[in-house]
This record gives sequence, structure tokens and C-alpha cells, in this order.
Amino acid sequence: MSDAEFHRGIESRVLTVVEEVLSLDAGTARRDSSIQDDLGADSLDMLSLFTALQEEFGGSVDLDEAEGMSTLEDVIAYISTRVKTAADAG
Amino acid sequence: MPGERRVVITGTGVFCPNGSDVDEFWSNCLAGCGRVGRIPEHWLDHADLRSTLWAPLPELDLDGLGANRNERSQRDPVSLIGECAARQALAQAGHDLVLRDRRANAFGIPGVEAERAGIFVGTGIGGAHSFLGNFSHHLLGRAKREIEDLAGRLPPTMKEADELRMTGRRLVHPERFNAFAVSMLMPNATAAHLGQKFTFHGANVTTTVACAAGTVAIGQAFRAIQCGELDLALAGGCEYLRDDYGAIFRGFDIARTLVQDCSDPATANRPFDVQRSGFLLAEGGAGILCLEERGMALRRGATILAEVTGFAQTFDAHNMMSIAPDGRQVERMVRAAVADAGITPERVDYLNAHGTGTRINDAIESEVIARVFGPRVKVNSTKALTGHSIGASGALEAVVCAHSLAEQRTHACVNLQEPVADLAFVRSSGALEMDHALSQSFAFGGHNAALVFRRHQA
Repeated sequence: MSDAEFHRGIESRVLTVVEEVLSLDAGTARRDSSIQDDLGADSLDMLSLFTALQEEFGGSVDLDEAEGMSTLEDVIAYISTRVKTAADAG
Repeated sequence: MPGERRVVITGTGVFCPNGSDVDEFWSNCLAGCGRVGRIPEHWLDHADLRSTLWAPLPELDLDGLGANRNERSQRDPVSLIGECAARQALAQAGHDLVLRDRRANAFGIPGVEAERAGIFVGTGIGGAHSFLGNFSHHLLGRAKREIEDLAGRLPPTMKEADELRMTGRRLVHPERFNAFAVSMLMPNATAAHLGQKFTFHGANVTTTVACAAGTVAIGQAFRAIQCGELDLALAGGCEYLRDDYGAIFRGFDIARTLVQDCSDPATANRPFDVQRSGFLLAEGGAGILCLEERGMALRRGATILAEVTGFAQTFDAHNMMSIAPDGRQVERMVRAAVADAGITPERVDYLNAHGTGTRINDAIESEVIARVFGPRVKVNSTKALTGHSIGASGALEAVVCAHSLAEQRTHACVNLQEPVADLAFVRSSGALEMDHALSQSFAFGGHNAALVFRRHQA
């Protein structure tokens, strides 16, 4: 799998999880969406989102990281790094 | 009494070992079908258990329930089976659900004033499943990784390496510590979940009086409607007793309360029989009733199953795990419940007993029934079919009373071959003319509670 395919796969899965957690119509969550301003997510929603991302991508996702993220691009980049690191380690 | 508000049952819902919905439950009760199975085999890796049987639950259909991703990961099973029963109760009562908040997956009920609708849920241990799961992650997560690391550092040929790996494999725990653990394990989680799910803003109450919890919850809902505080309540009991290691089961087992003779699963659970050897623990259960002020139910053309007419509770102040031998507080309680219903004991036609199958309970309960009601009242034990679901049991038995009165028939006291007392036990399922029924529950701690129901006549 190429790097581009890997990142597209992660992005697609993250956006699907975001739409499920926030009960959004399919296609509403976009890479450049602001989590708070565009999607209306508060701090508890972020906790729900990262709990769901842990389920989706495994325990290497750290709940503490949720606090510093403002766009879905941040989330996708973070998940991509964690998944790649976990794959390289093991 | 003129002007007094009357309380009726318009809907029932059940999720328990012998039924994943109320129709299946009731038809299995009438057919004498319970569900008994062996406990998970790996529990025996952790303790030498005396009892090896329980009543397992059917699988909950989460898609059918409409549970979203957040609810699946942020709710204890006890809340989800409670919702399953509550939805059935509302549907049977003829109440439609209208989606009110998509993100919260919450509904409203047209025609019901949300401020005058409440929730009353009884439970013995609430979200103990979530507590134990997260506790095992907290306790074992790092230790298990260290054991696996150590095993990996040992020469592969060493037999100790394999033994360490075996030990590590036995340390089961969830993959993560759930960020919502507190809101899952708290005893009031189910009542809160139901209140949010149906957007009820009236009283939201959790009763935690062990095996009497469901009965007390219904009693409190009855009072809240009777006194005018509410017009509608979802009331009952919910319990989930499974954990990864069988520690909850062990708690009951070590106290010698569970069935001791497990040689024949089909007949091990035998309340009121001289050969009884303890109760059959259920994996869990949920029973929810929709109670409404009678005038409101009639105005909207609801089918009324039965009326709730009486409630009383007393406390033994005797022993944490055993009913008082003289049964005086049980007797005082049933007499008060019957008086609350405005009748005398002779008018009670049918009694759904606590009937656990322990030697002490059934002996004392039988004596009290004989003393208060005499040999005429028909008696059965629903626990002979469902196992003992602790805080849910009284609610399941209230559901049985409602359908027994509505259909003028009830289920048999199964596995009863040689009765412990000369009472009119229901020996076969079938027609039974009855106007008044009573259901009673006794609990660890010393709590006693009873409800009285009346056949509804327009």
C-alpha cells in the first residue's frame, strides 16, 4: 500500500467515526472541518470521539491528545502517525 | 375513594433469560419453559465454585434497539437491557416515539407532558459489570504486559516461559479503561439513561434495595401517580450480573445461597419443593411497566392490563443475609399492602411469591402465606422460570401479575414435586379466575415489599 493510499484509508475511517459519534449526515465531516465551530462538538463530544477512535484504531490512541486539536485534519494526522508507529513497531 | 387518582398498567416490557421480549417471556412462562445453562467454564480457573448453573440471558439485538455508536461503548449492559424493556412497555401501551434530538438519540412521546412523566428503576448492583471490567484493566493492564515481556525475555525452551504466558492469558481485561466508566457504573445510570432517552423531566428515581428493588420502584411510581405528582411512569427493575471472572456469581456462591445440586439442570431450580437446594442466579434481567393515571389512559383509549391498588414495605432489622425466622415484618407488610388496596386478605386470589428456592426463604414465606391468606390463595414462583435476577425480579413478577389478571390465567410453579407446605400451589398452567393479586419481594439487608393488583374492569 502506498503512503497516499494509507492516508486516504485513515482519513475515510476517521471521518466515518466522526459522523457516527456526532450523528452527522454522511459527507458532512470534511478534512478541513473545525471540530468546534463547524461540527459543534464540545469537550465531552471530543472524549466520545477519542473513545470511538480508540475502538477503531486500538489502544495506542491517547485520550489526552484530544485537548489540543481544533480541526479534523489535526485528528487525521495524529491517528495516521499513531497507526504508522504501531505498525512499524510490530 | 371518590376523587382518588387510580393507577393502571398499560404496557409491559421484558428482557430476561426466558424471553427477549414480553410476548416470548409470557408464552414461555405459560408453557413452563425456563432457561438454565452451565456457567462459563473459565470461571472455574479462578475459584472452586460449589454451584455451576445459572440462567443465561439471550443476546441483546443492539441494531434492533437502535443503539448508536456512543451508546454501545458508553452504556453498561444493564442500561441497554433496561431500554429494551422500556421500549416494549411504551409500545404495548400505545405510545409512539418521536425523535427529538438526533445526536443524543433521544425521543419524546406525543400527548405526554414530559414534566409529569417519571422513571423509577430498581437495581441491586447497578453497573457493577462496568466497575469490575474497568477495575480489572486498572489492576492487570500493566502487570499483564510485564508478564508477557518477561516471558519473551526467557529462553523459548524454558518451561517457565510457557507457564508465564499461560498466566498472562488468564488475566482477562477490556482493551481500554473506559473514559465513561463513572457514568456506566453508577447505580442510577439506567434510570438516567431512560430519562434522557424518552426526555422525561419528572422524578427520576433509583431504588437499591437488592431483591426488593423492582417491587419498591413500582410502589414508589404508584404513589407518585396516585398523589398527583406524575401522570405517567416507567417503573421496574434491571440487573446485569455477569463479569469476566465470575466474581459476582462467586459472591452469591460462597454465601451458600445458590443451587447446590447441579446434577440435573432441568430440575435444579425448584422453589417450594422439599428437595430445593438454593436459588438459580440469572445472568440478569429487565422488567419495565408503563403506569398511568387511569383517566388519562382511558381518554386516550389505551388497553389496560391491570390496576395497581396497594403497596407497602417493612424492614426486618434482623440479619443482612437472612429473613427473620418469625416472618413478623413480612406479615405486617402484606397485611399493610392489602389494607392499602382497600381489601382483606381473603379477597386475594393469586399470590406471586418471592419463592427463591433457598431452604430458609421458602419455609418462612410459606408459613406467612398460610397465616395471612390460608390455604385458598393460589401461589406460584416466577423465579422457577427466570432464575433470580435480584433487582429485576420483583418487576418481572409484577409483569406476570399484570398478564395473569388481564388473561385470567397464570403459570405453574415448575419443578414442584413435593411441596414444602400445604398451600394451593399452581401445579399446571391454565385458567384461573382472579380479581386481586399480590406480589411480594424480600431482600438481603432485610427489606420487604409487596404490591397489590386488581383486575381492570371498565
